[in-house]
Amino acid sequence: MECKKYHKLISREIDNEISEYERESLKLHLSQCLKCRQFKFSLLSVSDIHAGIKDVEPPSTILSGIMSGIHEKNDDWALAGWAKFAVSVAAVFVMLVGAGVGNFLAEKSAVDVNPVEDNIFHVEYLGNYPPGSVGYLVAAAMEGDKNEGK
Amino acid sequence: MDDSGLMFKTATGDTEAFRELVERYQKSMFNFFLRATANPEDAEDLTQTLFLNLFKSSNKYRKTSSFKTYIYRIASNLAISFARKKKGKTIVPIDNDGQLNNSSFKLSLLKNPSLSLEAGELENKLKTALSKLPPDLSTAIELRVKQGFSYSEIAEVMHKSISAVESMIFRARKILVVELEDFLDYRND
Repeated sequence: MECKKYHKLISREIDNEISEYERESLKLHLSQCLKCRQFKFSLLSVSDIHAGIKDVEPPSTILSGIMSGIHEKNDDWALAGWAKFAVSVAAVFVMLVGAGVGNFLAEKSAVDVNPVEDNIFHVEYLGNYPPGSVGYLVAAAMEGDKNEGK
Repeated sequence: MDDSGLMFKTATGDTEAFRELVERYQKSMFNFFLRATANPEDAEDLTQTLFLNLFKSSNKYRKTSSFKTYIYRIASNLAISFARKKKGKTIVPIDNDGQLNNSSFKLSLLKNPSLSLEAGELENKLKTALSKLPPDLSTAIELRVKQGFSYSEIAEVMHKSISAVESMIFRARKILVVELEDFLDYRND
């Protein structure tokens, strides 16, 4: 159990992530424990080999692939931007044309419609009022006027 | 111009600034992915994907941490998700103390204490072992040993606590030691 605790400290010591107190404590333990000294040697060896792995040069196709990739993306974005603009213009055009057509139809219907409603008190309305009522008399008088006018 | 400045220029559509960033980081990124995958083609694909993602999201970049931390965060996420998706990737069951639970993980190395490996051969054994580590462990040990990140920087890159990083690095080292123990010379003691 004691050694397990120091194993973690050894790993942290290699990475210089250890306090002075921990370092002293570890040093004391290592002076008394062969297994932990061997363990430290193993970790240090693996770390040294790892650190010593040399980076290789990346294939030259990486840079060209990336740059052509971003130009394609740029083109896509430009196309998308142009498409948005075109859709906006088309929408405005449709609205303007729609408004024009609406006005035209409104004017046309205004000409066709007979604005004179000349017979709202037609005799048929008499039936709506009981004989002798004010409504009946007014409607009858209006109907009479109309007939006289003709 | 520093990396962040180049990134901000990239966000305005300056492809020359982006090219400069790629030239600065392509080697370290390619090698990061190469050690994670042990496959040059996969490493190349991942490197390209990384930079295309970086370009695409350049307008979201904020200088809240160093650019190096930022790019390694993207790279780590890519490497870890790639390893998890890739079929046949060996995931080694280990407990919290870094003990191997599956002895079959051991590479089929010759168990011969007197075997003397050339430095290059030992390096190759380690590369193989590194590529077989669980992805988060290989990322953590790579960031520490090869890139020189501190534990707190690794914690930031990997969205982990510092104690989790400490534990991951320790576990990675224990696995690597088990893999190479037959080739390590204890005579110094």
